[in-house]
Amino acid sequence: MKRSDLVFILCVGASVTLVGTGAYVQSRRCNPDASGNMPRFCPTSSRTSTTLGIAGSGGGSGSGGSFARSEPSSAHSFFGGFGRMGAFHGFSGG
Amino acid sequence: MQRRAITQRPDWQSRADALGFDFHTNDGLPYWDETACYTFSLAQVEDDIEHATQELGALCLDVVGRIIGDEQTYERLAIPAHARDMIAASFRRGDPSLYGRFDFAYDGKSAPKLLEYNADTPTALFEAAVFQWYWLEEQQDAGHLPRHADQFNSIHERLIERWREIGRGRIHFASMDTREDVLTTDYLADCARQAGHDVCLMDVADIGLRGNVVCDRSFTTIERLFKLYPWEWMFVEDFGRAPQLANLRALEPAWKALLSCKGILALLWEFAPGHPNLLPAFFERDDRKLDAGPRFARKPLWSREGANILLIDGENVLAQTGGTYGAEGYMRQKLVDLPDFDGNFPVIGSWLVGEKSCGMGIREDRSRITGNGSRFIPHAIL
Repeated sequence: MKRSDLVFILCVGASVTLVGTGAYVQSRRCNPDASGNMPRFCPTSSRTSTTLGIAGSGGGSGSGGSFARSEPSSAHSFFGGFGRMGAFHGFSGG
Repeated sequence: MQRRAITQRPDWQSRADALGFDFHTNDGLPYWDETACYTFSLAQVEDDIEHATQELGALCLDVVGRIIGDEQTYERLAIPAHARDMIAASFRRGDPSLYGRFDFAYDGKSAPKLLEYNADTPTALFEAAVFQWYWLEEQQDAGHLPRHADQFNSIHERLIERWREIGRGRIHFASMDTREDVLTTDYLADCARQAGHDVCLMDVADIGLRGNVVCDRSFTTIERLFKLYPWEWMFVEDFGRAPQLANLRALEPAWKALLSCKGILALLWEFAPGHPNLLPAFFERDDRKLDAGPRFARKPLWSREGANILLIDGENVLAQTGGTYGAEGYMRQKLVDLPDFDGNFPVIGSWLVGEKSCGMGIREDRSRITGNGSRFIPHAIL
């Protein structure tokens, strides 16, 4: 968002407040999901709580999945076909 | 553009740890470094960096449209033959892209020059989108930055918006089990969840094949997959030829592999010679490579994290890095000098989410080659 975008709306709870010039400084509000959980990453300094932990690698998201693994129950399923190059090169990012 | 010393937040390490950003320090060396920051004028951000990002994003799409299905170009980019139909199909279907990062040499005076495009698996995202923003707010609160200080950073909002554009549904998120990759993937999954998606995190090794579909360990069909795992690796691995991949809708889509190859820098120069944001670039096998001049960077067509780069000045090697890449060939690019701030060489990482330029992060190093260990330095607009 540019400074030329002069007006943006900051929603706080149920109220709507017009805030002055925008620029890249924005309202960064966070909304809970249907279960009342706040998003883990919610870049606003007003955030006061989170129900989700992320300590260490391999943490789950708390929503529908994690790195928890189950054993395949079908002889017709195959896993492990990706990952070899990553183990060799080390870093996947750029 | 200036590099300024600034007081660190006293508790930034614990703040980072609490957010899962626990690789802020590696082997005792800082990755996140807030002993300094880079400052820009608004004109530098908007007229130079944002504009260049927007324009190059459009140019890249245009070039992909021109080369899609062209066997000769696929050969030049070292795209495996068995992957070409999947790449073309993904583009012709209009499979959407989530994000990418252009890396620029920029000194605040001249036009930004594209060093490379991280089109497939860009990282340093959470740091740029979230932790850098906290830094700005808290430095303002502490009085170390003025209240009017700003930051080129709507990455977070734009990611959520982009996930909404992509459409609701279940998305699997796969990465390797390394700290940086897990955090990046977890963050993107969280953005997707805020946009209304049902998300499922997994390791790339847990991607499976069952019948005609790609599935996870619980045999749930993976219809849409965000994978922080390079296409060029997937192409040559055991599942790389699996026909089930044709049914997969991936982010990034397979056509982004064309842009992820360093050879795209040579193609961009062919299609837009003299573009103010491009450097002369050529395939190493091309006789025209001498047009890059005596000062050039040699880069593997396929590589990651600044590996196997060679910087040449005439007869002299200015810098080089080791690594495991280069088997597919090389390209060369005219060398541009990074600005030198007391021995620190910054590179601008400018983010494109969807087709919109929306923020940046800066990596700097004592070396002229930016690599995996290069420090992330926050920025402000003053």
